[in-house]
Amino acid sequence: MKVSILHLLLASVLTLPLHVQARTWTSADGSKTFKGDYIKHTEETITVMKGLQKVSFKLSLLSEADREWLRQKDLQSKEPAEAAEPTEDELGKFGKSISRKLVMFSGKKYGKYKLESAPDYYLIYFTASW
Amino acid sequence: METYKEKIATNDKAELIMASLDSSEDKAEAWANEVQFPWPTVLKDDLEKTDIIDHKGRGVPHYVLVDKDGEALVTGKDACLAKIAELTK
Repeated sequence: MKVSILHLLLASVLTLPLHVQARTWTSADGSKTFKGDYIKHTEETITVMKGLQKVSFKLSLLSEADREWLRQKDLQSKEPAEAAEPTEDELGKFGKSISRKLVMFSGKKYGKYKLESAPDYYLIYFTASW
Repeated sequence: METYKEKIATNDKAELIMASLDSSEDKAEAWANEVQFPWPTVLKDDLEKTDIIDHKGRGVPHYVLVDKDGEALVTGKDACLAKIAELTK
């Protein structure tokens, strides 16, 4: 079966990772630039899509600004994930009971609200404007 | 509001839940817009769908401190705040 170049190109595009990021890269001495989509990097090498070609090369070939961009990317990926919502066990019977009915005033109207942690105690404040 | 900021908002072991008894969401929202309530709220139509309704008093304002399983510990604003301070120090 013949596989056309178009099919191969299409397949390579369709299998691109979802985290590609377009960027203009600059050489270490600043004399050259090229546009490429960031794919991944290690401590020593980087892989980018240059046009339809995947290329890998040493980080040392990149400008300081590009290497700083990669360092920031590393830091972002190491940041702790957002705190998980409290479990039903952590909320307890009362917390679980109210958790789906909580709202918070956002400045214009009430909107759904989720507890960010599971307090040990709840101060219930019954009130009304009338 | 200042008491809330000082004694509840900074206390991760306690949370204030406003149980709104306003007759409609519009009224509750208008009041919230006026005062800018900073705390979680359960609106009147939902109160009976939660365990909060078990602690409703005869009038307002009415304060009840409960643990996370819903056991009432004390009632009254000053008593509740004192108990929170004692339990979470």
